[in-house]
Amino acid sequence: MLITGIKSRPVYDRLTPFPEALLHLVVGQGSGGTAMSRLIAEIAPGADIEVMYSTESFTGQNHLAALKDAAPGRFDWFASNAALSQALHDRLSQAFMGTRLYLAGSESFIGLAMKVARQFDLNADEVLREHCGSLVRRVWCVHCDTYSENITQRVFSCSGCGKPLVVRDHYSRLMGAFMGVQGDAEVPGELPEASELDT
Amino acid sequence: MNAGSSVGLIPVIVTQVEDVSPGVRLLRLSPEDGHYLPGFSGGSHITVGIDLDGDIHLRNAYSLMSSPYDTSHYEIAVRRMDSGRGGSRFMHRLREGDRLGVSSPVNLFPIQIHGKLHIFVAGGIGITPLFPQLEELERAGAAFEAHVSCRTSEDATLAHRLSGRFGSNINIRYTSETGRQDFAAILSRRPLGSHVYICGPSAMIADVRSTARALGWSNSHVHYEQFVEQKTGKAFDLKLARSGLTLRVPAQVSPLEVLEANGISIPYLCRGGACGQCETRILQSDCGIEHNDVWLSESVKACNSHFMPCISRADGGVLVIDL
Amino acid sequence: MQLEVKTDESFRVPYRFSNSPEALARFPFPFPDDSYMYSVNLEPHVRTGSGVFANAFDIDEHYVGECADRARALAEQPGVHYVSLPHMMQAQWDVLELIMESYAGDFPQVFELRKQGAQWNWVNRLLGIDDRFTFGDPASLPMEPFEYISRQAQGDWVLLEERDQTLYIGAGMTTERADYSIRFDLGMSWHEFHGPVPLAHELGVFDKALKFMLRLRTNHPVRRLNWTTTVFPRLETSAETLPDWGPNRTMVTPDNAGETVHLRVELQPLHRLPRSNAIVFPIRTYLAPLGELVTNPAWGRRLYRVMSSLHQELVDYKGMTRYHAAMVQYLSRFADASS
Repeated sequence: MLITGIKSRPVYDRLTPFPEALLHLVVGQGSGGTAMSRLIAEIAPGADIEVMYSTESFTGQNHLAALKDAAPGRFDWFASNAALSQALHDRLSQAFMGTRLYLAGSESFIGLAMKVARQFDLNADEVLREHCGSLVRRVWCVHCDTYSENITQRVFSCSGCGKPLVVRDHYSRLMGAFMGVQGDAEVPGELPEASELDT
Repeated sequence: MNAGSSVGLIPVIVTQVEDVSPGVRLLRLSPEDGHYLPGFSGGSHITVGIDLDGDIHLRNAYSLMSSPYDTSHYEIAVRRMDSGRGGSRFMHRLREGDRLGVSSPVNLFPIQIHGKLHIFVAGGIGITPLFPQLEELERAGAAFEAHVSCRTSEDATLAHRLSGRFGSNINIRYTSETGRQDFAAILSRRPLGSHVYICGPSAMIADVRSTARALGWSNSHVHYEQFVEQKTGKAFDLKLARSGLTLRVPAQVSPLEVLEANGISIPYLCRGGACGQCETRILQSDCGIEHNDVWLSESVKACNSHFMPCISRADGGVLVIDL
Repeated sequence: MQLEVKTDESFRVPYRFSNSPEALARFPFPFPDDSYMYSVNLEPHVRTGSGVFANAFDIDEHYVGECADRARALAEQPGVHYVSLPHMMQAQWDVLELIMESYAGDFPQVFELRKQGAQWNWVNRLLGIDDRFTFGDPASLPMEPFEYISRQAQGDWVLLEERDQTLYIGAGMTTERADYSIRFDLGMSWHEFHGPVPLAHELGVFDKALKFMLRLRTNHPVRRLNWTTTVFPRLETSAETLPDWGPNRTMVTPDNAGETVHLRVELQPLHRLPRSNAIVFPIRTYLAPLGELVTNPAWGRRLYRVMSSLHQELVDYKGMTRYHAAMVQYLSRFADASS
């Protein structure tokens, strides 16, 4: 076993209101719906709140109806994370200083949304991220530059080059993904034992 | 024996002196060896070694206002403070050809390179760092604007130079005629990724910060640098426990300056009690401590276990420190 | 230093690499003690002696071969070994200036820098380069300034941006990297990119080192040594090409370890950059096969003691799992050598 003892994983927050915000932008996906509803209930009444939700989900969690009820102001929903991330980009480009962003959902979704947030120079004191649902991973193949989604196994076959990849516990915020490297690079066919990732 | 104020400093020559407005003088400093001075970024300051009569050695900090892309010389602006320790009056007596020592530049007020719009609010002598900062932004093709407050139009020479150089991005306001800047108007409904830089007196810094907070700006987008004016106090003795040395700290000199004049270098950056670099442990004192810094917590200040020798001092007697 | 530069080296199959007695004599042997563990081993980078600490950035007899190996890696895998985020342009000019001034000042017989205001003339006699450009104007160079100068500079170079009281990787020229991906690490913070290193986090090494790094001042560089091992004198050991060099790890035996296993020492002279306030993190790699190192009996003895007592997590992290036992068995022959 070559991959031992590597410790790193994004540290996520728990969504709580930023009291000083002029606009609360509550954005999430799938299982993130529960955290979004909880947050909205905690924000002081009368505050300016906008909600964006994607129903794309690996685990099939859908909180669309509950969120529609909870959202006091503008509410938009999207069938895919990609569509939501495009809409988030458009919304942020029209937004002003004083906006606070809240993200809830899978790691892959949060990684995608953070990529957008970074383009607008949103810092840690303006964005909170709450991880919800399964910890399935998005994995980047270091050999062929392809992303594989919803990975739950330590060893899997790359969706790009087909190489047997081992997932390293090393996460890139720019890529929003973990790294996968060929697991039998030293001796072909000799792979680390199959195991569940800590999902 | 005192080695003077210039220990470890870069030797420079005053190559140009220009009085730009009542009480404000520009000094051009060129390297003694005729080569290049260390590179720097907009917002940097240097400290200048100052030797006064009576074996008094001070170091004053000044923002650089010359171009970061031409380090054949530095330029600084000095406002004369008639009530101060004498450092600025010394600087106003300098003539072309005089020699000085300056530190390498330090930047505690850098441009935020991820910013989408850079808004400067400046007043008085605080305008000086804007010259290199705006030049950097212009070269990077970044969006910027500056709102400069002057008391009167006679007072506005530097502001006019800035506006001559950077054109319509500079908005000058004469506060004696039209009142103070409307900070809320400047900071309202600005695009995400805006940064505000406050360069001016402490009242202006406090005003702009509270306006920004009220408009929902997060701290990471609000930047300011405050040069604390060195206060004069009482003379006292500084005893260094490890070396056994005892040094006299005169009324208008800081403990840090006395250490430096005696060839004892300790880390420092801001020289204004903000960066924490020179924090020093107090072992014993038979006197009160005037804590003038913003670095130490109130509880540390209350028990006098540490102090910041760049800005704080004893009010007489003997102070024994862990050096 | 009189610089005798080799011109026919190869860091790929077929390998052509060895150290002259002079190069071996100045090899930065990294073990001050008989056992090894991570520490905050930073010290002021002051010029010392005539060895690798004599210059701001050391070059040696392998300069031409390493530059050629870098050019080959960049040509074979564009976008894999050199990366830079858009906001790093100021730091790029800073590092170009620092390397040019250091090289020209320390090795005037082979490098020359003439300045007329912003008009610069750079001469590199080792690579036959004589270029004129405008400092600060990227259009006046054939490529980005950092790529331009780091193609002519020995060792890997990483640029760190300071923000929010930590350091982020903003750019890198890393054709000699030891089992990581610069594309993947780009944008990571200090603690993130050191994430895979075992044991050191728990020892507080990275917290302390970061504090130290944040206090780094222009013109007051610091340095540290790091080390690992590689089978064969292959410099390009990136995560991307692991399938190419991973099999080498199975080829070590107690009998061939002296020729196959190379100690790989990284001299890291860290400098604060004046305009960007960034930090340049150079990783200047020195290679030597164990067989060369043990010709110094004191080094042979110490290598045995360090390697035989190395913590298993470090053995794994440094990729030695498969050949550690063979290497130690080889080194045991030098355990009691008298000097």
